[in-house]
Amino acid sequence: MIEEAGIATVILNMMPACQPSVGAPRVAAISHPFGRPYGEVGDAETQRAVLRAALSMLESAKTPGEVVHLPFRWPEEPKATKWEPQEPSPIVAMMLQAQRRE
Amino acid sequence: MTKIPEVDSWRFLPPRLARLLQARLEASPPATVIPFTPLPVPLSRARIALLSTAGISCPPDPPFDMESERANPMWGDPSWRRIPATATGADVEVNHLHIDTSYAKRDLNVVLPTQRLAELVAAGEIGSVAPSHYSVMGFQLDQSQQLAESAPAIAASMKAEGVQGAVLAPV
Repeated sequence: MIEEAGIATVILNMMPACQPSVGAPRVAAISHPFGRPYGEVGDAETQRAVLRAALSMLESAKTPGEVVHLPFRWPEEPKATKWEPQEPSPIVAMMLQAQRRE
Repeated sequence: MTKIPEVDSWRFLPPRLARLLQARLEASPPATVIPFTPLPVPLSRARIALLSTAGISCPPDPPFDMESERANPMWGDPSWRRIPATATGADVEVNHLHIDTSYAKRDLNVVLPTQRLAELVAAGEIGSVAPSHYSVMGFQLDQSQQLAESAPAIAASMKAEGVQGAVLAPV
């Protein structure tokens, strides 16, 4: 809808697997954890580099739906990376409760 | 030259949640139309806005509604907020029940890099920052209201402020 208003957009996306069903105009795919797409707290250098990489797709992408996989690596292993909320989200809590009842 | 590996969408997800989301994705129909608007000017002259799905609000605007989601776990607040481009972490609230929001509260730039964008403008890499950035709250099982109301309102606001390019970052 933003594109239809005549504005070029790029999605900084941690889940590029969604692209076939979403059909975003441009996707900059990044292997960062949920909640910190641009990088770690206080890491201005990475945040700036990620923003710059996403922005550059506004210029470089020539065909609708292009996906570029960005080269950034998260410094922690997934198991050591905390991104989930302190308390389970309402829908997760509901599912856990339903499982316990089974 | 080393080849850049493809991003693994499931890397940070617990296996059960990954399977659940994978099944949901496989059941989704493929997109049929992909919109595409070229950037009308080079980046060094373009006006840019940012959008985050982190549930950011700027008082006195009301925060995203978490209480209604607690009462109805299938519902997510579909509204949107304007974030002044000059806002820093001290000026905003972050409400989203599906991620650890403490990182965004400590450094807004991890989800909405307002300071980083201002730096790129100061360095001459980007033309200008739009007066407003935007946030929605990303947990939307039913996207109809967000698509019918928030998306066109955000698009119209961007248009009114002369935005030429936007970076959208789901969290």
